Amino acid sequence: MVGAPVELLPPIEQTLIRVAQGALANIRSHAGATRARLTLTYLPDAVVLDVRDDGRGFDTTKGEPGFGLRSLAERLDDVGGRLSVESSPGDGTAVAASIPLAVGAET
Amino acid sequence: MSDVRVLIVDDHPVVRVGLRAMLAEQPGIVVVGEASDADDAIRAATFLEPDVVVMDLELGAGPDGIAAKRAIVDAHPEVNVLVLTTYDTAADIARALDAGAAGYLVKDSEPQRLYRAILDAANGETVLSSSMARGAIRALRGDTGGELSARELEIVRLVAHGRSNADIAREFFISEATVKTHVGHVLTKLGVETRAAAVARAIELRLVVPGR
Repeated sequence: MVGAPVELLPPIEQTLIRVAQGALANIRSHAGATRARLTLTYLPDAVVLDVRDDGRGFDTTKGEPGFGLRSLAERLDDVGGRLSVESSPGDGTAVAASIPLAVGAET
Repeated sequence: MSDVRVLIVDDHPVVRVGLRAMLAEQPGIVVVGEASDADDAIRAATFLEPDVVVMDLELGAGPDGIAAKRAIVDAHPEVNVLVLTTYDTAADIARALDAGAAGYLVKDSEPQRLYRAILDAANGETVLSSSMARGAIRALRGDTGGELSARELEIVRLVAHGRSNADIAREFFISEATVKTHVGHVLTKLGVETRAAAVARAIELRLVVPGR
């Protein structure tokens, strides 16, 4: 975990949990990885979940994203977030789910 | 209070003569000697017992001002070395201060500024050129570098070592997108627009020490 944790709204929290589960499920079924790391980063105006593995990776320029990634992207869309997927064959995969926080909304 | 004894060290005779003439007009200061290279400077610091050594960073051939300064400060801890140089690069400033310089002024400073700086240095105060001082004050106030998060600090240090975003992402085992986000925040907080400027700024603020 990176940064100073703040309390997250339940929908944001649930989305992060789903992204973590989904990304780990993808790694288990496709990546052939020996290592995966989840990093939750609290920024002043956003929260970011990174899931990176050292598996076989894939070519992000070829074909449509699989169902797993697509549904994660849709979930993030619902809370105003964004999913970025970085991968290349042989070099693992990193997904980053970034969700903006409504700064000062509690006042 | 007795006069402040000043030793001038510069490899350019014109600069030495000019500094001597300028300082001769100032009350409370006496120029006790001049040296043109590092070895001379180290000897003169021993014989002439100056309070303040005004020294160029670049001393032509042989050991540079940094090495000379380190030698003088090691042998005579009571001597205050004031670096006077053409170069205002952050790396030079950081090197000079690391080697124990009492202060750092650029050669385009006003004579009055140099005069005051010598008196301040004689009192053991730290003297910085104004651009440098502004950065230091901002850092103390926490306006800028002071507020870098722990992760941002780690990242700016890796950037200073020439590491790419992809490299840094691999190191922390996170996505490049998140590294880019951190780098973006570092640039904003340091008030700069490029990675190179961020590194220079971070060195200036002593968040990064060159060579480590």
